[in-house]
Amino acid sequence: MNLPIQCPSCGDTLHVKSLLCEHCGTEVSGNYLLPPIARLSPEKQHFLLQFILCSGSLKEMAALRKLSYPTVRNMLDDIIAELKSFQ
Amino acid sequence: MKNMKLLLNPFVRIAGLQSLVIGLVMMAVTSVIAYYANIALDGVLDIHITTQQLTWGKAFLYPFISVAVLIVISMILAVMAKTHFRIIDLVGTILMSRIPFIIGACCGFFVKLPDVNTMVEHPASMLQTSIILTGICTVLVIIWHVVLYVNSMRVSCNMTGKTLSIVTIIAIIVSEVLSKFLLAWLL
Repeated sequence: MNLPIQCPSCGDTLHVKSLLCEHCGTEVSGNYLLPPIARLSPEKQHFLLQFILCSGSLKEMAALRKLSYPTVRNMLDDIIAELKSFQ
Repeated sequence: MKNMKLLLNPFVRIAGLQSLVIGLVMMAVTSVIAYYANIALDGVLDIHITTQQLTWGKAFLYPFISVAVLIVISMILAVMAKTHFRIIDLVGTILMSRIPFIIGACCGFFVKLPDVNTMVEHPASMLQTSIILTGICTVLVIIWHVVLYVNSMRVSCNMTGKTLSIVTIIAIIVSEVLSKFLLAWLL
C-alpha cells in the first residue's frame, strides 16, 4: 500500500498525526512532518531506491532503465531541486 | 505513438559516445549523398539545389563547418545559462539532430533545375511539381531538425521553459548568420 502524501481534498502535504507500536499497541499522537524523501512522489522514491541499490552509479541506472545518461542525470537533478525546496 | 516520440526525441535513449558516433557517420553519409545529388547544405538551416557540380571539399565542409558553429554557439549559451552538461552529450546529440538532412540531400535525386537563362526568361519553368514537392520536403526536414535540436539541448543541458526557448532561438539565428559568413569567407 502506498503512503498517501497529499491531501485528497485540497492537495496540500499531509502530516503524521499518530504512530502505532504493533507489538504493544502504544500510540503516539502529535503533528509530525513527513521526512523529505517520503514527501516525494512514489516514482521518485522508486528512482532513489534504485539509485542507492546501483551504488549511486548513474551509468548503471541508465542501463537498467534503458535510458540515456543525461536523461537519468536530469531526473536526479529534478529530485535534488525538489528536495532542496523542502528545506 | 512511442516510436513517434522517439523520432522527435531519441536522446532520451541515445546520448554520449553512441550519439557522437552515430551523428558523425550519418553526417558523412549525408555529405556523400549531397555530393551525388548536387545539394549544398551551406548553413545551419540550408538545403539548396545547385546548378553547378559540388566539389567533394564543399560537400563535406559545408555541413561540418555549419554544425561546428552551431555546437560552439550552443556550448557558449549553455555555459552562460549556468547549466550542467557533458561536452560529449551536447556534441553527440547536436550531431544526431542533423540526421533528417539525409532526406533533404536525397531530394536532389528527384529534381532537376532548369538552366539559369531559362529560369530568368521563363520564371514559370520553376513551377514543376518535383520542385514544389522538394521545397515542401526540405521545409519539413528543417522543422524536424529544429525539433531534434531543441530536444538535444533539453536533454543534454537539462534546460526547460523560457531558458530553453531563448537559448535555442538565439543559437539558431546566430549560428545561421555566422556559418553563412564563415562559409563565404573560407570557401
